Amino acid sequence: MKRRVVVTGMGPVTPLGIGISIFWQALKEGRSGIAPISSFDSEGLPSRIAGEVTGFDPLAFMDGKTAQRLDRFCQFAVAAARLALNDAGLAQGQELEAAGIQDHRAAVVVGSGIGGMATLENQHRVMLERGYSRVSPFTIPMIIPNMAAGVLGMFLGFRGPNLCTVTACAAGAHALGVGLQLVAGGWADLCLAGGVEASVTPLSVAGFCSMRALSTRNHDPQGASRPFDAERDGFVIAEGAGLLVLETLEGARARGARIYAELAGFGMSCDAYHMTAPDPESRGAALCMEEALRSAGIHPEEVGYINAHGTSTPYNDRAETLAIKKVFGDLAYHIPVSSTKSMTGHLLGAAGGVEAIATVMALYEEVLPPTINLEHPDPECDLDYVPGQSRRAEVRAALSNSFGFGGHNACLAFRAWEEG
Amino acid sequence: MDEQAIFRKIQSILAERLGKDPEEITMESLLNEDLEVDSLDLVDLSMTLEDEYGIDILEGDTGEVITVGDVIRLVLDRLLEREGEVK
Repeated sequence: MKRRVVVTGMGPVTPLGIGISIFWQALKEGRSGIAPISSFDSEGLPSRIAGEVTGFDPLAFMDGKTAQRLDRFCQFAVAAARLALNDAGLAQGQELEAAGIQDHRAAVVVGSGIGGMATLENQHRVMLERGYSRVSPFTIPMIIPNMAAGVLGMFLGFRGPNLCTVTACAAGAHALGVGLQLVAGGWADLCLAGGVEASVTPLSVAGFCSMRALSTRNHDPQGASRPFDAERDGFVIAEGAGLLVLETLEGARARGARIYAELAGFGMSCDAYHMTAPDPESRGAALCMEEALRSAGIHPEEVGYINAHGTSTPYNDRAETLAIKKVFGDLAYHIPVSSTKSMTGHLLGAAGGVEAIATVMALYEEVLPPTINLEHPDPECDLDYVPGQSRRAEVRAALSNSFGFGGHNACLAFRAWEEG
Repeated sequence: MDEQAIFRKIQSILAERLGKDPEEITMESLLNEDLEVDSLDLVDLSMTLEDEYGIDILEGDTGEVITVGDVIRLVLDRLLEREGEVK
């Protein structure tokens, strides 16, 4: 049993804005969502910039009791889920019923790299300062990364498959890949899938700083995320969520839903090389792209856009460029590749979800979002990265790459939707 | 420490934690049915009251607690015990 799966709704919660129209407009305009860290005093940290979701009011999406019992990453999940379902025309129970989607056939797969980091830090402080007995009973439920999927199942009444992928910066892409398999394989008729993250916190930033993974371009926040540029010096940490509604083509057609694109294939692989550094030969990254193309039945010549993992670290951008060349050969030089992380920063476990949304919009609106801040390309990064400005392009198929610490690689393959 | 003062304190804690209008919370409110307080909420409330009044509420103490009034009586009992110990 293999059914075709389409995207019918999208909910981004990002440093560039909340909701699909604001987010997409910012990407098309090439705006940066990076600013000095505002949620805590970052004095003394080498990296003091981030892509924070500013102006997020949890009470616009949930009641006060719920908001207090959820870590910020779960609050983002609730917001993104409501936005995505609303976008799909399925916000109300009666709309789901009218669409013929039974509760036990509705799935949720939400990835997160880290989970409730802020809660972990706060409660650890409480324990050290005031003793074991003062640790909140909500500590564990607020920290565990799977709670995002859990609360969505609870709030939406979705009783079908429900799980969390925890594969660092590939978590959101893995969630979408698993969601695709659940719907295509007949385990569910609808799946809300993507990634969430809220770890712009002191411990998290300090940990990434110690790895020398973050940009220290503090004097120029908006210019700090510069994938493929010779002056890049690390990624910029960011937070948010990106969830998508996946449905069967048959179901979406039957209810007259707007179809954004088809999620046609998915590839995954492991570097089997190092805990955090990518394989310099890029075998794993190439493997997952090849597998995505194969499973989607897409020929390399059909690919008109690649949304790169493009973190803006020296390691990633070179290795990913090499991987694309390995898969596409000489064609690689003719395929536009862009990193939307140049604008959003790196949303870690949420990146795969948010970038899937950017990729789908590129197909749907025939506009490729740019790689901003790419002024002097690294000589080893010599592809067409859509520098500076977005570009009109009719694209039939596109890939979105996500690679995570642990050597986890995931690649999603989308096809433009043409009725008929 | 009088009953009304403790009631007002509990009312404000619960209103904040449960996202409710304080007016909805009375002495007679049933924690479970009326206010939808679950087992974790009850632990959370006990810990807050321990801090607020310098008392100890043991795990078994909340077993008989059904209404907001029951919580107040529990706090008063523990305060009396504490005074006894001090004397």
